[in-house]
Amino acid sequence: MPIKQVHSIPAHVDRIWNLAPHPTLPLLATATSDKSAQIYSLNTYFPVAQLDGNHKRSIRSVSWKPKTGSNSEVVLATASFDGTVGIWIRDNDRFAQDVGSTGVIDDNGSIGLEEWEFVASLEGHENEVKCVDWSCEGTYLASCSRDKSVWIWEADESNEEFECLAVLQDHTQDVKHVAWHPNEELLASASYDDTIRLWREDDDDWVCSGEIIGHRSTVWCIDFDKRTGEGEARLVSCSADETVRVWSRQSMTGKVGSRDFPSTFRSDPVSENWQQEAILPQRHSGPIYAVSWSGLSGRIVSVGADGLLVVYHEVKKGEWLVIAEEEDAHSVFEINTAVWSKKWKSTAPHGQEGNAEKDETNPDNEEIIITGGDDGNINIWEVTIQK
Amino acid sequence: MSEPINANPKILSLEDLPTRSTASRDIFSDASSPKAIFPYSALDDAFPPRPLYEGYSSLLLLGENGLSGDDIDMKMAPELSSGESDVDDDDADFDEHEPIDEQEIYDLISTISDPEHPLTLGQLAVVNKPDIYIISSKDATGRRQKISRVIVEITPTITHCSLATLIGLGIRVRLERCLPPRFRIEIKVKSGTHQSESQVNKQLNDKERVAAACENQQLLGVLSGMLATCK
Repeated sequence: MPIKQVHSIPAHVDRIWNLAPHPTLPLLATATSDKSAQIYSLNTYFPVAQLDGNHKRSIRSVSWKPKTGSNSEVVLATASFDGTVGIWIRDNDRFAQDVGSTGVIDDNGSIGLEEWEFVASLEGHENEVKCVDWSCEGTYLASCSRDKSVWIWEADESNEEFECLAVLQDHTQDVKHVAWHPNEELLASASYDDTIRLWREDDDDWVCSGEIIGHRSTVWCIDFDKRTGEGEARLVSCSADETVRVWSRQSMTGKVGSRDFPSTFRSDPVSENWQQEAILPQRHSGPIYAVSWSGLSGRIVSVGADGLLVVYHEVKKGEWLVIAEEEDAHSVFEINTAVWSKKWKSTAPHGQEGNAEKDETNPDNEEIIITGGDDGNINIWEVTIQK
Repeated sequence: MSEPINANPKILSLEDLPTRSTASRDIFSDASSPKAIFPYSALDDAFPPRPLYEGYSSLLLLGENGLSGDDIDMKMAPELSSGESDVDDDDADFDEHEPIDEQEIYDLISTISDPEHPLTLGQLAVVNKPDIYIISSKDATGRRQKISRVIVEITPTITHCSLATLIGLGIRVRLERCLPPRFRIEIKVKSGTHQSESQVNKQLNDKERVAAACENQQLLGVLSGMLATCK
């Protein structure tokens, strides 16, 4: 198979639910059923921080706040089955300057872990919070729960005070996943009710602007195409119906320009029309728990209960081929999460780093896939297609 | 005390339950054994309903909230016992000469107590050996695939039994604790035996809901009581 495992980190004893690489820093966060989150360096694959003691039940999901403009803090949100969302900030006076090191070297010269501060607990959901995601500019944080609702939060500058802007209750069952568009303030949510919904702001109100019906069972995970042009939107979804599907926005109304009018005076309410563009080649047997769409290569990866890892490539718009497949990617265990990441650590053998200098035209040298499973391991993969 | 949902279920005699061999059947005829395995006697009597756990009604509401991580008021829930894993969580059985078979699955789950009657799921015919399937597949080269499926179809005693979700969860927890991780467990209501079949099936096989339910100490207490009669 043209995919190889380049590293494996025995991170947790318990199930890893979710993994999130920082958008711009070589940091990886884990969410696990041992109620903790860990931060790993993607330069060294060593742990740099342990975030525990605040959640009372499993941590299901983690999301990094993007660093933009004057916002210099490193902020992580954690969603827990205890019904809360936790906000954690790295103590900038006490973090590893070179994130490639194994942690902080203190005054005595010994190595310790970074200090992270638990700064806020967002309460409001009635029961398990299943997913959190920061919007592209870090302006909003979205959370979703078994209580069937999606909440949109806005943080103050300190990241310690959060205001709930909207409680969206259109889904008829648990909401499993939320994801923001890479450059629009457009939110998508996936549910146990087999649908995906789209949400955007309309005259200070957040409204459901679209609904995607097609999956025949729980939609577990969604991810937007990060390489679309302005005004375009595509997303990939995976489901317990054993399919991975790509959807694209055909049209939208009530957007730019009309925002200054109160919606009651407008004839074009905010709405978008989405259509299925493709069902990806079917490989999985059993629920598919995660998909990720690479912003670099445009490839998609999917993983699920069958332990299979599949990489898809778009030959032309709407036409996808499987280019790599790995059985038992976490031994006999189920795989809960898979995500593309920039490759920070060189995997060339020692002494050959110079020769293996980056070939910018080949994304295989630039990106990795990171997976997490019920075995508590983090596995790192490289696609090795010869061009 | 609430009325039991099915006050007068049909009960199988111990001798009629499937066992591995006549040799083990002989053990059953030993005067002391049946009580050790099934701690309830006088099986031919109509049973007075056992007092339900206080606050039990929240579990009776099947629907979408049946499997939940909500705190449920169950003051009388028994203590959670420890060390219930009968089999080490490893791949040891993969190369064993005697792979896990349907009888072994039956033995693991038929001794679970019904949440409502002082009887086992085997005695109530909620769990039946012909409704247990183990599916192991081979790849193109004839090599046995590492991952196998175990499918258990349960037969609720009545078609509107709102405890079906709880019973299914008990079976799933029992098997998850006892079987090696290479098994994918599917618990289903046998076709045509429950009015909300698809809803119950969807809940019982939703990994996230099951995981969240298993972090609910009150619910775990009830499950622990159901599993206390297992060998």
